[in-house]
Amino acid sequence: MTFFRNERGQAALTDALYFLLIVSTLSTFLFFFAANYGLVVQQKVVNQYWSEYATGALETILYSSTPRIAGQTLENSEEVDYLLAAVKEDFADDGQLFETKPILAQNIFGIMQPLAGNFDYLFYLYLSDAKDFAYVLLYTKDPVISPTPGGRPSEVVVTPGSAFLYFCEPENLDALELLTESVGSSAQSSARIQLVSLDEAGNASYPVAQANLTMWVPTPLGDPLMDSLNCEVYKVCPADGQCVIPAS
Amino acid sequence: MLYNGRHLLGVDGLKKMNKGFLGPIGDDLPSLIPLLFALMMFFYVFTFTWNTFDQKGAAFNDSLEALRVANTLKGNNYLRGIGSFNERCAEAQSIKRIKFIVGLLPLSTGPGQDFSGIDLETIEDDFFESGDEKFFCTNVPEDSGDYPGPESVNLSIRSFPVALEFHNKTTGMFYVRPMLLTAVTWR
Repeated sequence: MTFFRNERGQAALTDALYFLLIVSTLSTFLFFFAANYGLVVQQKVVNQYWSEYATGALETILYSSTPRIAGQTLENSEEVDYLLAAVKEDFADDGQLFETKPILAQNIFGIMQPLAGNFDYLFYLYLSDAKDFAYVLLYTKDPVISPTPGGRPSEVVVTPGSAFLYFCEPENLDALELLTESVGSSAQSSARIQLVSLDEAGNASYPVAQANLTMWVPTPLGDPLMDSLNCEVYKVCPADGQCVIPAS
Repeated sequence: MLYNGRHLLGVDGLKKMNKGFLGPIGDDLPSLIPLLFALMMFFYVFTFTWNTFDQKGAAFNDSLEALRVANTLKGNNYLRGIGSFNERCAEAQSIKRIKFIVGLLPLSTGPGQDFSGIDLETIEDDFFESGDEKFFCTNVPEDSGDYPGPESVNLSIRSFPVALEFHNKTTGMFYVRPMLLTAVTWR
């Protein structure tokens, strides 16, 4: 008994150290829990916002009007039509978009311009029955990757480079699926629209097309992917200058 | 003195054994240091967690309210003109938790018409106006002098493209052009 009584101080100290250990563990857990609290919800709110933006953009593209006469603006145009009506009319002629191709591109470019610095995007019209594309527009940036001055070789600085607007003609939907898989997290919106197609005898058919808008944080796509998309440049926007349409 | 082969402690012996004994509290003094340290750490982390929950909870609620303001004003992404905009603005006045200003910024509809961006300092002037009617909605009293700025708490800017209908009364022309509905919210 005397022995235990004499060791009382050490026992209390050990108890206190155990207590400290338990409290440290609990505090660490609490700290990490607090630091990570809400990150998932925050990400969901952000994703929901981009998804709603994509939906709003697609609806606005499909609702918008366009001047019937080239060179005129909406405000001073003598004749105006819905862009979608003009697209349908153009498609009905020969099952392809020709006259409305740049008009639609300009409209999409204008609607997506507020986000153009932070996002790349893809818009396409896909004829599900014919398994063919009526229209594919891709906006992507070419990041400039340079070594950090005075840094290690693995440290690089990524600055936004020129942005490119492409008309693409992928062979099938797989190339676009590969694209959306490659870019990681993306916001997507789609709608079904009915087009009109006239054959040589003037008989009308009504193919259904899937209009799709996908946007993602800029990601270098790489040559193999770009080759599979079969794209040609429509417009170039330098990082610090006005957009230009290169002479074809 | 020996008892069953052991030394029995006399008064002198007990005094010797209790050398360094500082009393009931003094004896446990070294153990009080980790105890107090553990309690301080726990209460510090507890307060930190409490404040974090509180701040993040408030930020989430503000963020959801900001989306609610934008969603009320944009509706189905189609505006039939200033009348429909004002109706939705009146509906949004029920939102009291946050302060907001909402308006329409013109988007490019053709080559050479670039989007001018969002500048908080001039945003009220930049909002689109058709004739004498400005597409502008707020729940901040005009004379309050309360404007959003970098120092505003939980400042957030939400933008959505919307289609706006126009009827030109002189030419009779009807058209729909894209606009950017921009909601700036703060506390």
